[in-house]
Amino acid sequence: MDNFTPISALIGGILCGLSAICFFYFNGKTLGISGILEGFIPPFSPWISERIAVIAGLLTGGALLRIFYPAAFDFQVEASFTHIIIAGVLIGLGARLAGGCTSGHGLCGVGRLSPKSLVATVFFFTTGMLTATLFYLFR
Amino acid sequence: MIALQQLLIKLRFASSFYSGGHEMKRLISAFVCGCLFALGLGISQMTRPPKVIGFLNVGSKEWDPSLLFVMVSAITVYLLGYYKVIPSHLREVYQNKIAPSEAIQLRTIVGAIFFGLGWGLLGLCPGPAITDLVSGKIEIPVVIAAMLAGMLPVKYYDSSNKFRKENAKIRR
Repeated sequence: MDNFTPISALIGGILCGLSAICFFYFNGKTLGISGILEGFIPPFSPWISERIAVIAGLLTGGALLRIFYPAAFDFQVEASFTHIIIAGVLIGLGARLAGGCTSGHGLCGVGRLSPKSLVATVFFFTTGMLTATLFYLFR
Repeated sequence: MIALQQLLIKLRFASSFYSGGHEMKRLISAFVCGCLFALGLGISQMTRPPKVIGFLNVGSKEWDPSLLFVMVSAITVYLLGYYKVIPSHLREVYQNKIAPSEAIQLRTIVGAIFFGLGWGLLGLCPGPAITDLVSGKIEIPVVIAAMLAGMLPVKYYDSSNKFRKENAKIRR
C-alpha cells in the first residue's frame, strides 16, 4: 500500500463534499457532473448558464491545480484510443441510463440516503472493481 | 433550429423563475462550487487514472484504498450538511420535485453496470475528466467526446418521451 495517501484523500474528499452541499444550498440541485454535461446535448436542458458556470469552475480549478499542484495531472494514458473511446461511451451511456455518475449518485445521492443512488453506487463500485481487476489480471 | 428555439424558451423561463438578484448568486455559486470540486479531485489525485485504478483493481499488489477515503469523507460531509445544516423545508421541496425520478428501474441497474464497465476500463469519470482537460493531454478531449456520444441516445430517448407526454397533455 505504498501509494496510499490518506491525508490528501481526506482533504480532497472534504472539499468535494463541501462544494457539493454548497451547490445544493445555493443552487437547489445535486452536483451531478454527468447531468450537467448532458444538458449541452440538444435539446438543451434548463439552466444552461448555470451548467456553463459549473464547467467553467471545474476548468478554473484545473488551471489552479496546474499552477499549484501539477502532480494532479501526473499520468500517461497507455491505453489505445479504441480502448478509451469504448470506455468513454460506456461511461456516458451508463451514467445517463442510471441518472447519474459517481458525483451525482455516489456522492450526493448516497449523502441524501437515496435508495436509488445507493443501489446505483453499489453497482458502480462492484462492476468497476470487477472490471478493473479482471482486465489487469488478464492483460 | 428547433434546438435554438428551445434554448431561447428555456432561458426565458429560467430568468422568470427567479428575480435578477438570485440569478447572479446562482451563477457565482455554481462557478465556485465547480472550482472547489475540481480542487478536491486534484488534491486527492482522483484526476489521475492510475490512482483510481489502484483502488478498483483489487488484485493489485499495491492496492490503494485512497479512493474509498475520498468517497467516505465526501459522503460524510454531504450527509452531515444535508441532514444537519440544510433546513428541512428545502429538503422537502427538493424531495417532492425529484420524487418521480427516484424509482429504481431496470435502466438504473443496467446503466450502473455500463458505467462500472467503462469506469473500470478507464479510471476516470466525468468530473475528473473535465478537470483533466487543462492538462493538455490529447486523450482527454477524446474521452469527453466519447462520453457525450454515449449520452446522446439516452438524451434523445428521454427528451422525446418527455415531449410526447407534454404533447399528449396539451392535446387533451
